[in-house]
Parts: sequence; structure tokens; C-alpha cells
Amino acid sequence: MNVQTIQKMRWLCRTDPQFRRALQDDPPAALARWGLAGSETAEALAGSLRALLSRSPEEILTAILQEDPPVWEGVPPEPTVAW
Amino acid sequence: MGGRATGAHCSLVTASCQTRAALDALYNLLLGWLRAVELKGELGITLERLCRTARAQDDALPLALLPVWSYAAVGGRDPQQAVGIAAAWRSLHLAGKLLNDAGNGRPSTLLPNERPPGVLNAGVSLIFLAQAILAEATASDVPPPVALTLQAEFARAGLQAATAQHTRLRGDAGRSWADYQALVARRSGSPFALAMRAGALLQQCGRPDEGGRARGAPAHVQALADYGHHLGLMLQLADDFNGVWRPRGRGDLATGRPTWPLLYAEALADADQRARLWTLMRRAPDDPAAEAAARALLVQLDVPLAMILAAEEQRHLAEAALKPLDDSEARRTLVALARRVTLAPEEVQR
Repeated sequence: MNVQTIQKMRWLCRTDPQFRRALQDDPPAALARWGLAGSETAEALAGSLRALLSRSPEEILTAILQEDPPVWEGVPPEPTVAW
Repeated sequence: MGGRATGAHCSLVTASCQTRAALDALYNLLLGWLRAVELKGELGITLERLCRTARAQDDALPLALLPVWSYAAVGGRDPQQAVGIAAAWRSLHLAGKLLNDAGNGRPSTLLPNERPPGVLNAGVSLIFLAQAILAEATASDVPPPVALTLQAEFARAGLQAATAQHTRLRGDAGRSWADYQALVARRSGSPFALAMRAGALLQQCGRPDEGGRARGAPAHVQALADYGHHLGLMLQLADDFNGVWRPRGRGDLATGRPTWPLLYAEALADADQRARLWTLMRRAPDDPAAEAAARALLVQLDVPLAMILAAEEQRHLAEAALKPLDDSEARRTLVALARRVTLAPEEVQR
């Protein structure tokens, strides 16, 4: 995962309507035109994760937290079941 | 963890009768061993309590069954055969968790009433328990060379995790995001790679070569080990996310633990943001408002999005690793498990 790519795509989405439109219409072409071709991170964000680009950071956090209560790896749920 | 436990994912992973029966058998084996060796005093009670807690975990997310699913995914027909290996792995895995907590000198969430020396002793005990169960599980029906291979795999994975942990405890690992990723690849990836490799190797012993040896490192064994490695990294990501945004007790920002979110933010921030983050982190141990402000800064820096991306990258790799395997219920279960574990909301999973 590439940190700079995330920053760049976020910035483009916020500031460049052309990029937003191109990403909607033809993601591979958009990535090529804005110098993001060949990046797995960019491809992920241009694909099904594209919906996240239009959400604010707070909205993304909320989306994660709204999932079902977490199952911890190493931190157990309360052992209430008498087994 | 963020993956939603609804629909097909949940039912495949947790709800089947076979899953519950396998967990029953696995924990009966663990408890049976504890009673058979007649541990006196508090240690036996402590370890039994730990088994109950671990079972409660596995009812929600049955990671203990990874070796069983791996065995079935390469054509194993009697999953009960892999239960012993799974019990040994779970014991070793729990040992690692306890030793990690004891090494950090912090209260163990698995044994909240034990002080670090007691946690340390319980962890060491579980290593011996894993060895005993592994020896018994491979004493019959498993060719001796395969049994030796399994023992060596357990030892190797344990040593790899211990080496990574030692590096971290000594502070030799560096403090960058890249350093951290390299460290968790060994510490968090290798135990789960072991779980998958062990199950697959056990099935291989049903098809030994002329010398009774397991067949080298067949592609399917490696594929499953790769899956386990990526699953382990996803679990670590979820743990690190929870440590900041779903803490139990004092979170990672309050305790100053440099995990993925903080290190990523440091890598991403500009000079002003970094200075502000460090200021907040210095105050966070004694100032909940500073901790909350640090958490908010991580959100502003898009750390949750980055964690989703990292988790999805690992899930993609985990699923890709399974491609050489024939379709089977076990393979589908492994895919569902990875989707359960990823931080990505279900509607945006690739």
C-alpha cells in the first residue's frame, strides 16, 4: 500500500472534478491520465473501494465502527457462557 | 473486527454444526490433557479458565479450526483427524499471546486476574501442552517423518515469532511504519501460516512418497501457508485498529504503544501535524482530552481509510493464494473467514 497514492487520490477527488468524472466513467483511463497507472493502491481505490474516496475521513471511521461488534484476536469477548 | 457477521459469511464461518462439533472435540482434548496431567493448585484452574475464554472467542471467530479447514481444503476426508493438530496449534497460539502480554509487562486480557509472572508461567505451560498434544496427535496414523516435520514446523514458527518479539522488546526494530510492517509480518504472520501448513501437511501424510515422507513442500501446502500469513496480518491490522478506536481499558494512544495507526500517521503527516501529534502523544497517558485529540488527528490524516486499504490488500492476497485449490466447502469457508476479518465495510469489499 502506497501512502502517497492515497494522499494524491484523496486530493484529486476533493479538488479536481475532471478526475472525479473520469474515475467514474473509465477508471483505468483516469489512472493513466493522472499518473497513477500500475499502482495497486490506486487500482483498489479506483475499483470497488472508490465509494470511500467521496466519504469524509469521519464517515469512513463511522462505517467501520458501525459494523457488528468486533471479534478480537487476542482480546476475548466476555466469557459469559458457562461452558 | 470490521467485517460484518451477516449473511453467508457468518453462517459459513461460525454457524455450522460441524464447526461446533469440531470446537467441542478440540477443547475437550485440551481440557482432557490438563486434567490428565493432574495440574495441582491454581495453574490448572487458571488454564481451564483460559480454555473457556478461548472457546468463547472461537465461538465468535473459530480461528482454532484453521488447521482443520486447511486439512479439508487439500482433500482431507476426516476432519476429526486434524483436531489434535488444531488443539496443539491453539495451545501454542495462546501461549504466544500470554508471553506477549507478560513480555510487555501489562495485564493480560486473556488472564485478567494474573500478574505478569503468572501470565508468563501459564504461557510456558501452554508450550509444553502444545508439545504433548502434538506428540499424541501424530503418534499413530502419521508416518514418523511427517510427525517430525510437524514438530519442526511448530518449533520454527514459535522461534520466528519469539525472534520478532525479542527484537521489538529490545527496541531494535526501528520505529518507522515500514519497520513495524516488517516486524508484524514475522510476529503475526508466521503463527497463522503454521496453522495452515500443519493441517495441509497432515493430509499430505495420507499420500506419502515411498519413504513415508511428506511430499516436500507441495504447491497446495505453500498456498495455504500463504493464506495463513495474510490472514494473520489482517488480524493484526484489526487488533491495531481496535487498540485505537475500540479500546478496552487504556487504548494504544494512552499507553503510547506505537502500532500501525500511529506509525502510519507519523509517516503521512507534514512537519506541523507531526509536531502536534507528538505533543498530544506526550500528554495522552495522563490526559484523555489529548488522547481524543490525537485520535481525531489520525482520522483527519485518513488513517482508517489507509487501514481498510491495507486490510483489503491482504485479503486480496489471501484469496489469491487459495486459487490453486479445488473448490470445496473448506475453501469457501476460508474465503468467508477472510471477508469476516477485513476492516472494509461489506459493501465496498472488492
